Amino acid sequence: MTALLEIDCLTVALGDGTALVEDVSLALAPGETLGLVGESGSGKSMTAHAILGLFPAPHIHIAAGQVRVDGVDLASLAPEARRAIRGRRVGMIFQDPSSYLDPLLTAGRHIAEAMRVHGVSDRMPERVANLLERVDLPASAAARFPHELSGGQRQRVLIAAALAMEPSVLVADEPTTALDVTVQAGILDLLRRAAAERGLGVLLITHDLGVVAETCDRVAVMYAGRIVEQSDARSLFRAPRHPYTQGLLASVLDPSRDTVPFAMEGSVPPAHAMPKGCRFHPRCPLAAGPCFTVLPPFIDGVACWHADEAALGAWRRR
Amino acid sequence: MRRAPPLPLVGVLLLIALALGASWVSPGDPLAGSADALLPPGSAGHLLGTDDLGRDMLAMLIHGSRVSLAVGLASSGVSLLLGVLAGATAGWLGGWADAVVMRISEFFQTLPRFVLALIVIAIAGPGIGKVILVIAVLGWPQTARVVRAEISALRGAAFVDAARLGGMPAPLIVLREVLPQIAAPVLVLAALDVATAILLEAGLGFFGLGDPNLASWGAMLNEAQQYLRSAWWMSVFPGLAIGITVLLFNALGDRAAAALDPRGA
Amino acid sequence: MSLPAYIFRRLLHAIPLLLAVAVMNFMLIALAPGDPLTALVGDFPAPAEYVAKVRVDYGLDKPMPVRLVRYLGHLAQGDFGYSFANRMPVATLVWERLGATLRLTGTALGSAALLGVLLGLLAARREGGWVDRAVRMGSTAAYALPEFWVGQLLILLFAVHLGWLPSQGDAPLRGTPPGWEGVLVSASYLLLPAFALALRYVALIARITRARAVEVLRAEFVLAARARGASETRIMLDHVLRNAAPAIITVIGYNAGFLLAGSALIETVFGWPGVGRLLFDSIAARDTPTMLAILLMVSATVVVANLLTDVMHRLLDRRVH
Repeated sequence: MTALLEIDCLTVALGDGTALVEDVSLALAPGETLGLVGESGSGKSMTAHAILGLFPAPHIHIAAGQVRVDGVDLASLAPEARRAIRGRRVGMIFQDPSSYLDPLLTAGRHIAEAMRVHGVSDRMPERVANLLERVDLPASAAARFPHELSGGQRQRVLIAAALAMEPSVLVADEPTTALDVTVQAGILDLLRRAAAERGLGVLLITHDLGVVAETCDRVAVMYAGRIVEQSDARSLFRAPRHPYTQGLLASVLDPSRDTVPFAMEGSVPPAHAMPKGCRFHPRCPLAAGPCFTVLPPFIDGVACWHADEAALGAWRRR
Repeated sequence: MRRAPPLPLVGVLLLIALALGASWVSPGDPLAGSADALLPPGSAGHLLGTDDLGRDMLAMLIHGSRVSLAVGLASSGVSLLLGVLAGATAGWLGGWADAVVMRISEFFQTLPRFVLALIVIAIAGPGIGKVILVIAVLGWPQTARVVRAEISALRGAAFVDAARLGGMPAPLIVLREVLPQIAAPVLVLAALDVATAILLEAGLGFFGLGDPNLASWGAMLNEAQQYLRSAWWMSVFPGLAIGITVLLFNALGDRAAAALDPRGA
Repeated sequence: MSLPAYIFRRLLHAIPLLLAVAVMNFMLIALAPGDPLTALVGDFPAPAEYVAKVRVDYGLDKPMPVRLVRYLGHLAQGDFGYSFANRMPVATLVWERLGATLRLTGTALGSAALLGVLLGLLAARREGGWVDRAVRMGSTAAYALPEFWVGQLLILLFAVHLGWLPSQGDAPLRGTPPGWEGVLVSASYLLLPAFALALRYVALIARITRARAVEVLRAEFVLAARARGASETRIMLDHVLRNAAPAIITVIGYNAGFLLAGSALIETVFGWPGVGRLLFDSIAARDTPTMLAILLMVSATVVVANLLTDVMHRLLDRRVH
């Protein structure tokens, strides 16, 4: 079966050519939830925006590679055809639901817009009510303005709008980050249900490994614009292979132990000052030899010159 | 970073120089009529032609800059003074003083400036001093509002507290410590005020309410109205002069505002 | 606060403003050089009985407060005095001229709003593009030009040089054919003055529309709408225009005085038989009662325009409290 969404050697760059995302490849199957994780600045959000070809600032553009939806390269499509895919084949939801809703339009108008732009205009109130029900909101929410809704309700409205045209792919860019923990669980549950019931492929972008563990079938880890490790969720959590993944996992608070959580030193380098060689080497305990000069190739699910050594636990030796 | 002085500033300075040196630059007396009436531009001795009374257009244009600039600069200066005084009082004292000043400024902002200026001058009789005063009195509220907002924001600032603890009297604190902080936005407003005042003055002149003893651009356009069919130059040149002058002051204000905008660009 | 309560409060707010305008009118009469009687009657040889009647009616021999109350009383009854220059009551005179002014200002305002919003949106669509630069330069220039001079230039070009359009007055009552042809004739008289009057307004509206639209286009909810597949045109109309509307309405409404002042100048240039031309004539004839009635009318219009603006603003943006 062909993948719903394939990203092939994608490079996203600024106007001056500085790469924000480099050589990223991903594939998403029906009903599957793929987690894309990394610290802020790792390029995961830019990857998400590249899927629809919509970037939050001008001058950011796809410099190389392909994004294929149902086997069709989006770059080969005319603007009008590309627009027809947005919302109909690929839906998207965002981090802060309050700023992604037009303050002067009701919840219902947002959901209706998602259908109207694709030529659906009959039985609108009924359709909107059904969609609201699917995201566990009462039909009366349609008449509410964004400032009359809670954060969780706003995200539900955005999800209803994103699912209105029954897309096969949902890109969720940090959908729970701005929400309370109690509200988070409900939203994640909603996404899981949509994937299970309708065969929706979900690309879940998050920095929260807890969310990934709860929701994802497979995980890709990004660092400084590149994918450093990719595998199924179970083995990634059980036996992480890249030193960066290991560092991330170790820094998650584990309630079963009362040790102080581990914290990796340093931060993601800025896009215009990428280190030579492996981009993680300034922070990596195993950095030696080729790490300083040559970018490690992505082989067998991991991009590390010392993958074998790292499998034993990169941070333990210190 | 060093940059060439902005074009609007150069233009405004040139205009001021022209107005100051009008007597030397001008080809003759702007009000001296002659038998050579309605000569087109390019006629011997009259580069821009003559008007219906045989007066030299170029001489009138050059002297007209004096009236426009005098009214523009003086009225915006007076309105700046009034606005800062009212705004500082309102912003610093707060409470009922603030309420009173703001109500009054709201009332003045409701008044149709041009129509009121017309009628006041029509009743009081023409005169450049009166024109300046009327435009200034109608123009202060906007400055007052900006000054008030800035000052009430600065009232609790640390450097103000320091000055107060140092025993400095309140008017002196406002004058020495606070006003320099808000000079920038107020000067931007003043530049735009000059442009508005020049347009108002031109309108008054066009309505025949200019000083009959001075050559002014608005009054020239008034004269031109009756000769549109025979002497286009009587309308075209004074209008251009007004347009360019207003444009320069507007551009100066916009440039200054952009340069002062903390968001950069 | 509910909308009716808001409107009620705003109305209460407008009353003292109107009263203040009337008091200011009274002060202009009182402070006028010479006899206040001249200001009330105008600079005309009026019949002695009328002068005596005015002196008694307005209490000119009484102290100032009594005179103020009498004056306000006359205004409240719709009595604005008698214009000897025109040989009719001022109220009737102004009322007769009002229609022509409303036709001119209404046409100018309507077309300025349409054109200004359109240009502003087109400019914002490609920020920094050639349309944007042209609109910005054009509006800066148009905003600097005195409208009455623009009027003269239009007359020079379209009436004197090309001879396409009439330059003076309104379509004559007699001699204008009925039906569509008549509408065209009327429009030919209206076109030039309306354009001259609208020009600065177009510049103003285009500038605020562009500035707000550029801001809204950067908003995240616009990105979300694009992600749903909304076209740029739909985004402009549904999101950008809606979010820019309160600011645009405010600029339009709060510059109503500006439009009326412009109308006085433009009517003078084009000999348009409206209130503005009447103001010019009354100034030339030193017909003070007429001048003051027009001032009162214009001020009242501005107060009402501001009131309507605030109510519209409130209707367009439910978040305003």
